[in-house]
Amino acid sequence: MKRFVRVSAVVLFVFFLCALPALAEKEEKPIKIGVLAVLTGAFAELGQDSVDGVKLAFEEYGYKIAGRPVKLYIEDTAATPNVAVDKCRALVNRDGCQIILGPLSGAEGLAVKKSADEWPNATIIVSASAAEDVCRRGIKPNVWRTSFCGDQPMFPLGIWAYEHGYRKVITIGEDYAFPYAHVGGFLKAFCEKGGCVAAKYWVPIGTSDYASIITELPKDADCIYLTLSGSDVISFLTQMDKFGMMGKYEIFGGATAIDAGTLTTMGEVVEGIVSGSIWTGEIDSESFRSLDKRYGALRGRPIGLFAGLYYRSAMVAAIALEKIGGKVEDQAAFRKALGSIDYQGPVSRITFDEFQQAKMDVFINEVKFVNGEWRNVIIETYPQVSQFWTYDPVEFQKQPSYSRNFPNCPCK
Amino acid sequence: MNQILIQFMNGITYAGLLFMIASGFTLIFGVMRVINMSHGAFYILGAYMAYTIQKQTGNWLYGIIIGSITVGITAYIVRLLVSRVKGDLPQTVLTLGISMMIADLCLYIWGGLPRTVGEPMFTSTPIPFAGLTYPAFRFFVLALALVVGGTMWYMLQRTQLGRILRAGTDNRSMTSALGINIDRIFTLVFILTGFITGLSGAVGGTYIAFGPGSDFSILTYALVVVIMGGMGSIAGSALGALIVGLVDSFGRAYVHEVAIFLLMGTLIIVLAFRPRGLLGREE
Repeated sequence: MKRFVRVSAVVLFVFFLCALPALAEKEEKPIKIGVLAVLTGAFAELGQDSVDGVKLAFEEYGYKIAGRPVKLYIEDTAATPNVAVDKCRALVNRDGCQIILGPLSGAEGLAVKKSADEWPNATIIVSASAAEDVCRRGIKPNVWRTSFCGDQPMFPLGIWAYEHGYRKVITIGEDYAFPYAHVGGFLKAFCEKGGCVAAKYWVPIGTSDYASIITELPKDADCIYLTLSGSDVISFLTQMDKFGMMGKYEIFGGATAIDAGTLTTMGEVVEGIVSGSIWTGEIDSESFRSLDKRYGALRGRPIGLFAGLYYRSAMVAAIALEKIGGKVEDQAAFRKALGSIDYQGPVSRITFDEFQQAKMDVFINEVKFVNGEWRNVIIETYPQVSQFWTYDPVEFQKQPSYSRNFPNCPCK
Repeated sequence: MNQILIQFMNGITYAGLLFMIASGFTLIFGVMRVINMSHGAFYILGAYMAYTIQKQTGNWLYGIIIGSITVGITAYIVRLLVSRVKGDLPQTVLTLGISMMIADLCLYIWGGLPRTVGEPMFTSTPIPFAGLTYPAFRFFVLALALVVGGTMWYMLQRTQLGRILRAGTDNRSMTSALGINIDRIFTLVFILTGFITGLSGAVGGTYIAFGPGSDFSILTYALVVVIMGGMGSIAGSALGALIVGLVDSFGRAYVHEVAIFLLMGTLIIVLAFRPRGLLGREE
């Protein structure tokens, strides 16, 4: 008997030992989330903001979702499409990430979408890339977008500009996919209302001297629509100011041009500029104030578009993960959970359309001096804007992709 | 007519800045046969220093002076490092590495937001020109470039140092065989270059925003100007800057989609007929 007890005790102990790793694994196997952002070069600041946004979101969960720890893998894509694809491949194949947040810039998003079939066991939540066709003209089951489509926030701005009496616009944008869509959305709405284009300027990224454009602007136009980013927009506005041209035209800004960073640098020069965005600097919501405060403690300025966009994508991922009890290995369930998401974020409610593109509120912002800081203040809200605005999706996708020359409506 | 006059003015005021950037670059190459890849980083370092000092003191002039001196000192340190390495190519690669280090340090210290240096008071009133109010600062940049160019010309043509420099450009080993301490001359050239580049960064940064990535776009412009004008020739840089500035200005105004193509196209045509650049000399 004694021997039996001893043997069974040993057997039980051995069983227990065998089960230990399995138990421990079940407890601690992390959810691996890859972050693709631009951390070097001209967009470095945006990338840093993006990573901040992701971290701010997961801090709210204490880096633990449904009992499983969250592990972040951050990669720099250098704003280059093929690098973005390589880094995405490394995150999925080498690190075993099941969810990818990113990439950041326009062409990167398209490149990752094109290669998305390589990674059926990972879901890519495009966080900031606003290139047109990420969720149009053919979709991938594992590519979702919480960020806006390039034209999405610009339809309302085009209409707003027309309704406030502006008829002849000059557009100035950088010469690549994102500004094509951004300018395109504005013009599609503006032209259909009856406005016209006095001149279009496309400049390479990193253009430093705008004097020749500023001195050449058509005098009969009444507004300028601006889609420049980073140092380009700062150079342009500084030189506009030095030429004494700031009051001559009403300036309308795209989402990236008149963002929090631009306001911090330019200050009073940009006072009163109206822009369209899916982000803002002032909104009556508790979650926005606390997010803005936490970001402010980190960087000492108001939270901007890119931190907001990545925060949003991380929150959407976290909510979908909670819904499926953290079982990220079941990608089908995860995607289904994404599809049914109805998330009230700091500035906007987020739902997905059938093309896996988020619907979101669009704001018309005006730059104002609030409590010692320059901030974008909402002057009008267009709730739950779809990527197709009010158009029929099927008809819409038949139109050509946005380019330098489409859409266009030159003034007679 | 007025419009053409204005674009011409835009072109030559831009050329003034380009000349200041390119002259130091060409000087180092001419004397030492080192392609200083950290030239763009020198530029943004000067701009950042000027930005900080201007912001702290409110005095633009202090910013410009401190910016120039800082880059002069940095250039001296770079020169010490470069002198430890033998061979033109390893030296060039070393400067590329230094460039990345400086750019990363700037990102660490100043963050990634693009900046501009606050404008001085004396250029705050625009000047009427061809039916337009033209920014006084651009005239100032042009004047400064003329002064820098004139001083360099005088130094190279009329002083003993200039004679040694020109001799060194023509034949390095012969010059040092004549008992001239060529190493000391190299160091001096590096410091001078750093000073001028820091100055152009501080001045350029007053109306052209700078941030991460600006270092490489500046380096590209410097390379285009210097290659077009002829590597090692100061007068060549002036001519190259003038052509690049004018082509850039008119191109951007009238055929903006192909402005860069036009610029590089001009470079290719120049090189097709003068492989060593407009004023470059045969080895």
